[in-house]
Amino acid sequence: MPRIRSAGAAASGKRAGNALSYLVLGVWAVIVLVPLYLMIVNSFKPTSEIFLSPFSVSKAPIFDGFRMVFEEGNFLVYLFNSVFITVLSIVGVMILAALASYALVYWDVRLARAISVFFLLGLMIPMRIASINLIIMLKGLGLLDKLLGLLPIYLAMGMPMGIMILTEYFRTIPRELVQAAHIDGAGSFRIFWAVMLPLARPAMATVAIFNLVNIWNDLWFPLILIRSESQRTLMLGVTRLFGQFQTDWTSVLATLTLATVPILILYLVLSRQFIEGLTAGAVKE
Amino acid sequence: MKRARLIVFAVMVLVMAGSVAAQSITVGSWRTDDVAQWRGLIADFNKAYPGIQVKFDPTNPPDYNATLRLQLESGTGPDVFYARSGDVGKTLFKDGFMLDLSAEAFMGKFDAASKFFWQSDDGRSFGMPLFAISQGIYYNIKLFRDNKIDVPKTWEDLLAAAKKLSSKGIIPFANGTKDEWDINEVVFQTLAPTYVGGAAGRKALESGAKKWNDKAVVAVFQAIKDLAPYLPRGYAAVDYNSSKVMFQLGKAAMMFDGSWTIPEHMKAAGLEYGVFAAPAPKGMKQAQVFHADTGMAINPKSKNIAAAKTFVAWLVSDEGIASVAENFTGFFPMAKASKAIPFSNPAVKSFLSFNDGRDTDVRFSWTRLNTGNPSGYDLITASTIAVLGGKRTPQQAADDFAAGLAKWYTY
Amino acid sequence: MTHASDKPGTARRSYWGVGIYRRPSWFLYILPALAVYVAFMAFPLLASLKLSFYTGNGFRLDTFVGFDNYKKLFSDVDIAPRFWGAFGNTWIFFAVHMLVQNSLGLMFALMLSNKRLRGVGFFRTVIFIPATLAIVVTGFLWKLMLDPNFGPVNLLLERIGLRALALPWLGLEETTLPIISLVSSWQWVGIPTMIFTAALQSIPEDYFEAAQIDGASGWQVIKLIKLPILVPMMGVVGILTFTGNFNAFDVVYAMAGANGAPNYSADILGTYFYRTGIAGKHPVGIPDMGLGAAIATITFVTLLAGVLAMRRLTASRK
Repeated sequence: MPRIRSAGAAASGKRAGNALSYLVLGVWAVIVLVPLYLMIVNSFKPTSEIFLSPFSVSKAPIFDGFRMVFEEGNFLVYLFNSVFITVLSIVGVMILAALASYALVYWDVRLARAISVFFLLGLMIPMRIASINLIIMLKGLGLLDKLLGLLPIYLAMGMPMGIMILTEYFRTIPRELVQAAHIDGAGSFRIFWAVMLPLARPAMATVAIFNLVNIWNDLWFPLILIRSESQRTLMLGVTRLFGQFQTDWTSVLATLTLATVPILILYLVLSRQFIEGLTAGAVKE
Repeated sequence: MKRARLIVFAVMVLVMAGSVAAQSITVGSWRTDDVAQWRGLIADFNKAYPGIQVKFDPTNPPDYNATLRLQLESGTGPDVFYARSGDVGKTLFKDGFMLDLSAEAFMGKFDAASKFFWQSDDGRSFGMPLFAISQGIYYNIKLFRDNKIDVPKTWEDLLAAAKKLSSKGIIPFANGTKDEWDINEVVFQTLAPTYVGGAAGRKALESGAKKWNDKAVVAVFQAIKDLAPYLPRGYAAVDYNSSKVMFQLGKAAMMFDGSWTIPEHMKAAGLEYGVFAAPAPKGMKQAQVFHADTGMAINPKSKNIAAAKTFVAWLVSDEGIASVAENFTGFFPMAKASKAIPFSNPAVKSFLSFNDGRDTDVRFSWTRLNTGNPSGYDLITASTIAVLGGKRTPQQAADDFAAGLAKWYTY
Repeated sequence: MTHASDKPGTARRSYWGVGIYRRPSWFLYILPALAVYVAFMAFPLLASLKLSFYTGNGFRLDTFVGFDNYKKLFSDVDIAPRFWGAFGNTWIFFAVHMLVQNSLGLMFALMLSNKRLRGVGFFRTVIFIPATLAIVVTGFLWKLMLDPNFGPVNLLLERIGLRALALPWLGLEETTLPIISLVSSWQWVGIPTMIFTAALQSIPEDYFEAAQIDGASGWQVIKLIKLPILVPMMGVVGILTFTGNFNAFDVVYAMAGANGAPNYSADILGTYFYRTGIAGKHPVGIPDMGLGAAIATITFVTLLAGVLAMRRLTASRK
């Protein structure tokens, strides 16, 4: 340890440091929360009031915007589509990535290591670059403009991150457990199913969370692959509703609120696991 | 287990959504804001043809052309779709994405001039003319009255009115440039016909009788420059929707816009508005944009071509025309109806009256300027914004326009 | 993995026999994931690279043109300025994230690692909230916030007497891209914050206790204990920022449209690729997929080179 300042100076320095921290973090909290606050309070006001007093909570809240969203648009279709494709993709990524990771950790050949690296390369390359060929391929498969056409793309997109997180996690599972199960006569699949999967729950949650944010919020692939009203995801539908509501800002803000609040609540409820899951995955990169 | 059931259910819904019933047609459009209008029209259509289900499936306007192209290329296109007039439509037809409608009986409802804008160079029809639209200047009647301003008769009057409003702290024109298409289509192209001399003037430019940087074109850019001081503060960040809101809330007294916005202004509480034609400078003859805007094309790969034709033909039957006129305020049916359509909306009547005794034309850049790179459309957008921002003089802007076209335009 | 005893084969032989670790049947577990990954990521990516040497009409890219698409991008009078503009803007976009987002992230992480600070959980939750929002939502929300005439940001600036600063932020060529980059930084600052936080949490508690006994000041703790842990993390964050932002699209599309208006000042490779290769440009809308593939290839090569360079850089620093 180098030379240290006197204790008194250090203590006052700490107090000043704390005050500064509160100031900085407080200002940032305002910058984060104010736009969300404005979005929500203004979705209950008629357009004229939004412009006259954007900051206040309306004394006579109206629900026209929300009514418009449900009556005039196909909001529920979009919502259903998004839930459907997101859940399906996440489940798919979890299953495929878990199976592959299990083998990549225990299969002791050069090829397995090469395949691991091959998967990890995908972390560095955004899938959008492949878009042109994906359009052509999906067209060939008859999956263009079909919600299900997004599934293989999201599976492929989620795979590198899923495999990275899960292989890292499987490596931390004590070998003795696996070996004990093997001695008990369990086959490799049984070991996977009965031993590895239950243990990997936290890592699986991380994979799920990562994909939830990425897939739920994805605009690019729906934008280039989906055209029909009945196949649109929430984000694509939201852009379309902006076009429909135009100057009706009440409805626009109601749309935004409805698209945001579910995931926001989910996040707030799960925020501890969410953040821990994310840091667990990110650090190991 | 519940989740499994949900997934099974979801798959079923999907499969059902995918397998379209035999007598169902989808209509593709760039009018996302016309959902309610289409609901009315489809209801009327189903009174005559209850067996054909029509679905309206619009895309946001700036994405429409691209979206449609991709849909058609990939075989997922709508059965019937809005067809842009002029170059854009021609290109799709040439590539085989539109049915040749020349021989259809319903084409008999149109005169040659109307059909022209949805015809290939060899005279085959790829779109049935549906709507025309008009453009002009909306104004806030109350603000005009309060500030003792009369509806301007000349360009000079208009600028004087703008100056007066500006001095009272009212934004004269709500238009901005953030979205780019509106400053081009509803400002530049509203002004252009007057200065270039209507359809005849446009053709003189297209044929090479006049240069693209002719003084007439410079004059359009000069008019744009005249407007610059009267746009909203920070107009560069004002998008089309914000412009309309500013007008509806009475923050701005006037706005260049098209007849298609009437329904939106009708919904604006407390807005008292009128509309007048963009006036010509003193001593110049005024010409009016009456744009052949929307055609109806049929997808040759549609599985329900017969139903699609039935629907399109119904649109120009007397009931169809009446339904179009009634549901689509601000759009003008182009078919010859057996009896005159009784328009009741005052703004609609005003727009229609702009055509009386004046030379009318489609939008200036629509007919010949969009098949090359850089397109005339892009050049106009860029030059207009440059003139407004003071980066180019009107003469330089016209020179840029001409230089850009010179790269590919052939007479 | 260099010591012989670390090799799974040698270490585990006594328990589980070498056979099972070498059995080809393991491959069956990998196969589904690999198949999807190869078919929908690796193959289309490589095939897209190939398409960059072709041209044609729409989906039918059947004419081999060698490097013509690249030549166009680099030197065509009309195309090259668009391409180089987008290329340069992408670097600016990335640089703003690197400077603003990551510095803020580092600062937040350091502040949140202060054990005496109350409300750490609250602030941590708040900092990450924007990352859960859709970019479509963020973009639209900030567009409203920044509206020149009625946006809360400018209203606020005017109220505190800074009318001169109440600019049309998203309308000026000079400010649009930086503002969009800042909005995007606002959204993603939670990620570096979390990564740095996790690194700080890995520091053993007794380091801090020792420092406390020595009477070290807060700044000394940061400099001597925390920063050394954070430096290697900066490399990771740098790479993530690079790959995450070099092919950005959504935020610019949501706030400045597909053209990156005004006057292409916010056009980045993502929007240029979309306009050229996928959508075509308004009003005609005919995409040039070959040219688009060339843009994608350049993005790919730049990403690869960038990541390798950054790895090198961080490795040599260690």
